[in-house]
Amino acid sequence: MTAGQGIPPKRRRGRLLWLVLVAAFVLGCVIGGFSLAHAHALRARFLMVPADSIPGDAELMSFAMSRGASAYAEHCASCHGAHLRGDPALAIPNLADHDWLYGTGRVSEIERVILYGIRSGNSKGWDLAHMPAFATARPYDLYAMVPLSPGDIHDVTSYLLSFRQAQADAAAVERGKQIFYDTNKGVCNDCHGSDAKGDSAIGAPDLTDATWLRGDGSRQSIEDTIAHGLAGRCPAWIAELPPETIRAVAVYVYSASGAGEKVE
Amino acid sequence: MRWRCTCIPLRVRGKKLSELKSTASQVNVTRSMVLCAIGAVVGLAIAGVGLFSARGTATHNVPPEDIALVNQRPVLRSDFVTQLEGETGESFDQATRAEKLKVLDEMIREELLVQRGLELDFAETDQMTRNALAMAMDQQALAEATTSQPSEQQLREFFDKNPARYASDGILTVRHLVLVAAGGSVGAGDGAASGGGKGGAASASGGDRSGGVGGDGVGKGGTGGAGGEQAMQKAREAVAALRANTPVEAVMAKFGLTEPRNDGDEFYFAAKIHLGDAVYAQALRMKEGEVSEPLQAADGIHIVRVIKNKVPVPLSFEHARLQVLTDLKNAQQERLIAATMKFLRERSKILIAPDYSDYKP
Repeated sequence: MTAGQGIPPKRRRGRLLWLVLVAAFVLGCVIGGFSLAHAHALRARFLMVPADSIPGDAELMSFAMSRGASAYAEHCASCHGAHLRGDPALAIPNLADHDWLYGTGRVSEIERVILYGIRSGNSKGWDLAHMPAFATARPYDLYAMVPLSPGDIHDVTSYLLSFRQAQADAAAVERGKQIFYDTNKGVCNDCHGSDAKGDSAIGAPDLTDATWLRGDGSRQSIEDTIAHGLAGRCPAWIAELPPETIRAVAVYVYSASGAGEKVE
Repeated sequence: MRWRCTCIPLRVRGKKLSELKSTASQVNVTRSMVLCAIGAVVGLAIAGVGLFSARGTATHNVPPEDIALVNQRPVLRSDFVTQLEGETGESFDQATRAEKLKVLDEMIREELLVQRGLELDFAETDQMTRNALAMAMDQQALAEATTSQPSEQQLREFFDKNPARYASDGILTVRHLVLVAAGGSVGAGDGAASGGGKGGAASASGGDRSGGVGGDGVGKGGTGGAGGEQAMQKAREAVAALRANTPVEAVMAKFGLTEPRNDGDEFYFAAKIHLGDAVYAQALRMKEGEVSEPLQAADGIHIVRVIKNKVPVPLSFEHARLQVLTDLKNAQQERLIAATMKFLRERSKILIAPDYSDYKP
């Protein structure tokens, strides 16, 4: 006697239906399991490879971009803007201008800024220096610096403007240059470098190019910055966001900013 | 023991329900007991390992974002890369395997030492650790204030509540002349400090008068003796000459006045340091071109001619926005620190020695 013999057709169809359902369930579980395992493996690979190698990996880029875009919109766009262009009025850096205050625009450097922030209160964040407020009795809170007079500020501004356009008052440019390199007064070159091209190791911007962190590069905005200083902050997200999200935002910013190229 | 099939047939026709229930319950009870026993044994075994092994039930997998786990404390890959690049001065890709392993070893060593330091309670005994911890707590408040970005409305409200903070910089340009009474006593006049009768003692070439050489000990017109009266008369004549638009240099030469320093344009704060509180206060009230009355102080008689007095003007919100943002965040940070301290004090029992019972936080 073979199996199924004597089983009514109605019951046989019912059993078949059950078998199909069970098989579908098992298949779904297998596919789901594989999918989960793949996602897990992809996440692990995303986090384990050196951050700077991610842009060269299409699969990892795809993994990062959608996550990065949504996390950026949720956590970063309120300051840096939806299009990463920042806000010069508040000295919030433009992330899409190829000009990096900290580092050179590598994914790993961006990731580190997102992880630990800038003047964020996290001891691993960037906080080596900030722009003194020279129109105050105590321009810098870390050590003593000599305040500048309105005339000094005017002269230094003339010197900075001379990088891009010849200034009518050559004497003011020369006086400003003296102050820029003076080791007691101004001391600007200490952070901005002997060539005034800045130092991305401490977040000192290039003063010779047309990119301005604050304002529009006009005399007024430069004088305001010298007079009142700057100390922008970026939060540390390490305790707020999971590691893959932070890395994804770094990749997104890197990609959206033009892949770290610096325009001269 | 022979296991019996426990599947309940879909079709139970032909069997009494009571018979069926009895069979199923007998079988389930046996199996349940066995499974419970196995579960209990496994549970006890895991708990035993957890209790009596130093490693406990810790995970044996290093999360992908970490390079190592040291007693379950993660060493982040990002920190590893940063430290490696910092130490070697080259990018991660350029670093050799040996360099990477060396840095990894250093980081594990550091983690082990930190953990041991915590076990030894260095926070209680080591002053540097205590300083670092206290600073870290302050910084924590900063971190919380930094994470939240104030809305435009919050900025504007803060600006509206603190209008005096947001004004352009006041600039004062003066010619500051001093008549030092040679040999004679320059007596202190109205409001003079205790420097009366020490005429000529203080150098007029001293520059800054911050902290007040004579402080507010500057008075108008008062004299302390015959020599002082002569000096004051001379100063009045100098003032008259200045008001008659005689060039400053000519007046200085004629009446023997000195000019301690001439800094040109000065921000108000700098002018205050340069002139001293009393002379500065007098100068602030004057308009461009005006010459002050002679002001007597311990170090001589001061005369100020105001060349320029650019008074601060209120800034618009748009112009002050960056400063408003900075101030608002600083205020948030201070509030957070104050709230943290309040919370810590409230939950703590602080006993003060009787001889310091007047202590108040």
